[in-house]
Amino acid sequence: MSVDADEVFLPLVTAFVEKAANCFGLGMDESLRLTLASEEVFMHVCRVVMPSGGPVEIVCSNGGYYAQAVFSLPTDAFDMRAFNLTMTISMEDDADLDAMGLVIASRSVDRFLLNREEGRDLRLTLIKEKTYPMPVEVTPAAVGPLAKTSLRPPRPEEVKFLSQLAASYYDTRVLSDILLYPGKLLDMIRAGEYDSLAAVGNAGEIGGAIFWRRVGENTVECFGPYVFNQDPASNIAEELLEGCIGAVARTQFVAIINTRPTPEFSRRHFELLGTLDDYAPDGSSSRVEAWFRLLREDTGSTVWVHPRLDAFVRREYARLVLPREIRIDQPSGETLPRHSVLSAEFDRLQGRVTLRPMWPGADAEENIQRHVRLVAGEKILNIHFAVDLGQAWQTVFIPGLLDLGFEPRFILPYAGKGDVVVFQLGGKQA
Amino acid sequence: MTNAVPLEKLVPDYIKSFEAYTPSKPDDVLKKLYGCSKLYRLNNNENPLGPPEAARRAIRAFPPAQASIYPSGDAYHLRCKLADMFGTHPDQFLVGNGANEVIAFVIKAFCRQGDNIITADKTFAVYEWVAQFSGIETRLVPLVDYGFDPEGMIEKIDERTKLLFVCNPNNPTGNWWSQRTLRTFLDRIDGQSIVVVDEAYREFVESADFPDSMALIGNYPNLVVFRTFSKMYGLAGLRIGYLAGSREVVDIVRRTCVVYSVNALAQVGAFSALDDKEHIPRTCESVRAGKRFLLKELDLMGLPFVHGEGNFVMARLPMNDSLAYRKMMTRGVMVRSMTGFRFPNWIRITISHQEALEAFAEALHGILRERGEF
Repeated sequence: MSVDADEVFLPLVTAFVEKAANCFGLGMDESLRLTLASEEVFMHVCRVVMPSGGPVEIVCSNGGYYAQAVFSLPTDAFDMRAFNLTMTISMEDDADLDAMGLVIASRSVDRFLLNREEGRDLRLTLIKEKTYPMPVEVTPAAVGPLAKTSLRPPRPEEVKFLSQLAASYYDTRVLSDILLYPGKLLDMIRAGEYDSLAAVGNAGEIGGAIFWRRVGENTVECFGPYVFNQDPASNIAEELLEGCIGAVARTQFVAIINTRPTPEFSRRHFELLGTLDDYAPDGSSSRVEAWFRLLREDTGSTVWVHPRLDAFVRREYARLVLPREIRIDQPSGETLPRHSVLSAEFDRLQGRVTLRPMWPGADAEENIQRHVRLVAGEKILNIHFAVDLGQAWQTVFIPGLLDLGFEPRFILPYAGKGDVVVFQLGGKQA
Repeated sequence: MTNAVPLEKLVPDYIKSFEAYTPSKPDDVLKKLYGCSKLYRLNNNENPLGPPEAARRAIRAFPPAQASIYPSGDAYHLRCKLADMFGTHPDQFLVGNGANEVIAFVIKAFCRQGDNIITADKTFAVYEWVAQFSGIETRLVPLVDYGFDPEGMIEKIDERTKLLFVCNPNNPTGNWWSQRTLRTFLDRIDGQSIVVVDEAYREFVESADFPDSMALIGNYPNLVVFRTFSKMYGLAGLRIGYLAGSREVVDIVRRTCVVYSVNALAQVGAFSALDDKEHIPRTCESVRAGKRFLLKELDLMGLPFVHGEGNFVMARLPMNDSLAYRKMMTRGVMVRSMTGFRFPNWIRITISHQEALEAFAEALHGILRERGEF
């Protein structure tokens, strides 16, 4: 729908979002939260961002396991700092009070995205997911070793069974968290966000499976291969892995990664990117490997690198034999927005959070620090930060990251607009 | 501030999910990117001997002033010559800007949304691509022993199956159907769908029982044969290929074809190439010798390989092929990584001239040694 930025249209906006969320299958609570977030955003736009009015477009869409409302508005005057997880409101500060609605909005949804390209409208996407129950613990029927298997996508009724099998045979460290929510997995497969292949015997017995999902525009992350009680000499794991690679080989995806390799994972199909330290709640740690492979021949690309990251980036590109034109870039006194914005993606199962820059700002270092403090306060020890080398504006975060003790651990080729550097905060700092 | 083009509304879903093919960058750019001073191209199955002498002469004699004149819109003289060669009628040929263009013509002529085509899962990708960006379903049949599976293809047919694509010999495995296999397949299809046999590498074939598909068109009016001047005839840079079929089928395909898409230089080059009687035996001899050398080298390195008819060999590496590609590039050798053909960890090597094959062997030896694999 398109409306003018005028509070008189508020009931229309809220009714539109609520009805859409209901139709898309959100529960009452989630629908109301998405509606509340939309209400607060629209009010903020009317009162603060575009007080003289102007066109606001709102598009609601169904993502299968989530619903989203996208606000598009022709403005540059949107102070996004309220979308920081760390934002607090001072009742004495008028600017803070103006941002109150956005704070409520950001806390009411599961995820948000901000996009603004030169000369285009600002797009704010609010995403609310359905709530899925944890499954009742059932030990799935034992699978006997299979003499012969073939690969095929699992049928809908097999998906939940597969996730139970994987969860019962494997440690959570090598599972996608989605596998613990079979209903969500099924919805994500239906929505095209997850895919899978099963190795099936002649009578439909399931001997193994592999799952994969898209991560951004260019990358697929695979989980597995999971093999259930099969002969260690069987070829099932390699067939599953090759089946997964074959399934995405002629798609838009450029690379495939695996950051939770199972013991059956075939390393000769992939390249080692690097490692992360995985800290358990008791402070002990183990090493987790990150693997990747390109799905096509690399024709090179350009990356924007802060001088303090230059040596790491050059060393890694040389090791991975990735041709890159490296352009050194750093803030050079140009005016930056006052407040930066970071997104925080929590994986509570793995005790991990990944911070990502959403908006540059003069307070980049303080903002990272505030986020680290808040996350550490929640006893999350694995704090990662992902910087997209395809977006020059993100170099503003590099000095703060390094000064706060984040270490660059590896480069994920083509994982964002360009390659993405993954940083990890050392255990002591976290 | 301007609004973005509403691509979400304007673009069909099958185009949104389709990724445009990214061709290799030009040699000078690649050499700079990968820091090599020389680049041997063993990736596109080009003929290292280049075009036949007769074609070279015709190209050299092409008057530059002629560039201002439109070419024959339907490659009239070339079609007449092909008809003479194969004892058929000129209207049984349709010439395109490379064989890729005639693939698009055929799919456009016979398919609409809801229809499907059938081909193999591990073969030349363009049949699948063109179908996909045209919104047509592709049904993929796994190869059996590296060859097309006629039975598997037949099982996939339904009332909306319009086209069956068989790459013969198959790129990249070199496996091929004999005359008997093709005839049996055509008999089973019983004229109910169009059978396209892509013979891009036909001129390299030395096996006696390879099908004479041009002759089979007389008995099977639903058979369409693709040929190209890009491989054996060394005219890849000019982009010219053709299809042959029964007059009634070609008449339908012609309705969808783009006239004037084949430039004049390509037409004269192809016309003259057909006159050169020494070029094919000379190339075949060179391919035989190159293949002998290459297979011996792959054997020495302990690498499994697959080959058949055609000027290429496919080898399996103990590492991922996209990494091998990049490492080979830094050593000035370009091969085709096979992930895109759904053969992860395989590479395809063009049988080129001796110097290039030696450079390839040396580079691969070096890479495997580095990894402690050799």
